[in-house]
Amino acid sequence: MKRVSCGILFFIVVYWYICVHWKKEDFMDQMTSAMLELADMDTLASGDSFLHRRHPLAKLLLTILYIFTVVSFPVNQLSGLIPMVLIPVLAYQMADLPLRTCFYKLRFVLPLVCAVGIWNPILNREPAFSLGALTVTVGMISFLSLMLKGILSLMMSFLLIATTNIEKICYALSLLKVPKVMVTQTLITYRYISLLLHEAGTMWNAYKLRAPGQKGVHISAWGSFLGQLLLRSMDRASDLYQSMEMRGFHGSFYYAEVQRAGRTDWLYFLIMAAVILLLRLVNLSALLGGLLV
Amino acid sequence: MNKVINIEKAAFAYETGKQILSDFSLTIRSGESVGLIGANGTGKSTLMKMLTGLLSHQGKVEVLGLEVEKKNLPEIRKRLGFVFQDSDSQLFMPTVYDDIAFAPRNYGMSREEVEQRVDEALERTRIPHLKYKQNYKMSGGEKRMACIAVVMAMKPEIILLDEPSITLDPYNRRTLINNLNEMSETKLIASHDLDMIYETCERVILMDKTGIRADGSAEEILKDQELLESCHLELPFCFSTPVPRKRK
Repeated sequence: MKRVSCGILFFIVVYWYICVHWKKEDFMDQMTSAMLELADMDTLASGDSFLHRRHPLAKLLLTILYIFTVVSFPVNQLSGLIPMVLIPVLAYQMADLPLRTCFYKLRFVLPLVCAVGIWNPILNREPAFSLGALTVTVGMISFLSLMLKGILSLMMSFLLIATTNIEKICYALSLLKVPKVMVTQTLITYRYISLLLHEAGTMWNAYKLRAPGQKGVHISAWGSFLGQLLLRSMDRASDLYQSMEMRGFHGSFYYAEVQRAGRTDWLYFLIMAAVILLLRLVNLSALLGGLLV
Repeated sequence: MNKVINIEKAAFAYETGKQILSDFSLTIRSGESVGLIGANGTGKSTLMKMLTGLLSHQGKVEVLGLEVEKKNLPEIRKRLGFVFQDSDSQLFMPTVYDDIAFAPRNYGMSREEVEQRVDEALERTRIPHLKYKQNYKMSGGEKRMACIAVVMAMKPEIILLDEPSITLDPYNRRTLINNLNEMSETKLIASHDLDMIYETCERVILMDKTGIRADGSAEEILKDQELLESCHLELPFCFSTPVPRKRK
């Protein structure tokens, strides 16, 4: 049953990917680069910075706290939200990660996040304040606020996966008592994606060689193409599961690297959590503005 | 020598009813290196999966004195390593290190012991330089050696290898043969590469659709052209006379 559910889950992921991309001529190149990017994430996560060395639970809890805090700001309180930028900027420094890496990796998602509140400036034209001749509306502020919330949340999520590999994240999830089946599915899905992209890529190549001049898969072949992909996905899932069973896997991952959270980990967590909460409770922008004016 | 694998009148059929093995008996003793040869579809891989408990069977199948049944599987799998035909099916962790450490971690070994097992396995397979290499970025030969290292990490008493030389270039194939010859564990190697079987195994089991067609020394079976050809095989290159190249 586990194998079947794994197979179906991976099939859905690959199916989604193909639906989005298969009309493109350079589908295979994109798939290869997608696989390389996945591998790159593992390379990033295997770094050895101050943040990489912190306990995964501390990092996971901080990420959750940060995202909840950012989301909790009212949409019209942009000035209070802006200082929250300091946290990811500081954290990226501690992780020795350039910010551009984050923006490059998230280049496909960021436009979607930015587009969330795109209608607000049009729908809500109530004036908030004026900057010379320019009247800033409530809609504009809420749009910027939503955009900033999305970007900050993504930045912190990316920081988590760039400094903590999937096994450690899953380990932290298990410490938080997330159901074992969910943790295992997350872990295995992540590991299988590249193999399945490879499988889909092989099928795509075989199709393309026998269908020259076609853009994408012809509608008449969709059924068999996706059916085959499902069967291959399930076979692959079954093989990998057997390989795991042969090495003592029985539904739980065990970690030799189980590390107890040390003093530095908790200190890091407490200081960062305190800063996050302080920035939530005190409007730093307004405070600094008040001092200057 | 002790019997480490003992199969008596075993049978296996797929759910569709297709019978792969029937009334199959076999004994392998400790320290033997046995080659399993036969045409496609004769049940070589099925036999290996049966020994590991990955496929259920009928009849008596014993590995290291333990009946292959659910309650004994953890112990059997701890003492028996299986190198899959497809390396991509065996390697699923981000790096070689993680993959080799997977089994020792699952068996609850300490961090130091895991580290030691990983280093030993890498040394034995002569790939310490691949320790932190990402699986995705490895060549076919590197992946194959990593798969063997993955199995060696548990210090198994028996190693099953399913088509180990497939997809390897001559250099990596030679390295593999040398490595296999250095291993003192009991080995069961299924392959169509009869030259490799000749170099690594002292005993050969020839399978056909009916079960075991011949069981004897590698020399005796691999030189028997008539027998091999009747089972859709050919003499290994080392015993065959060069065939003149056909040109127009």
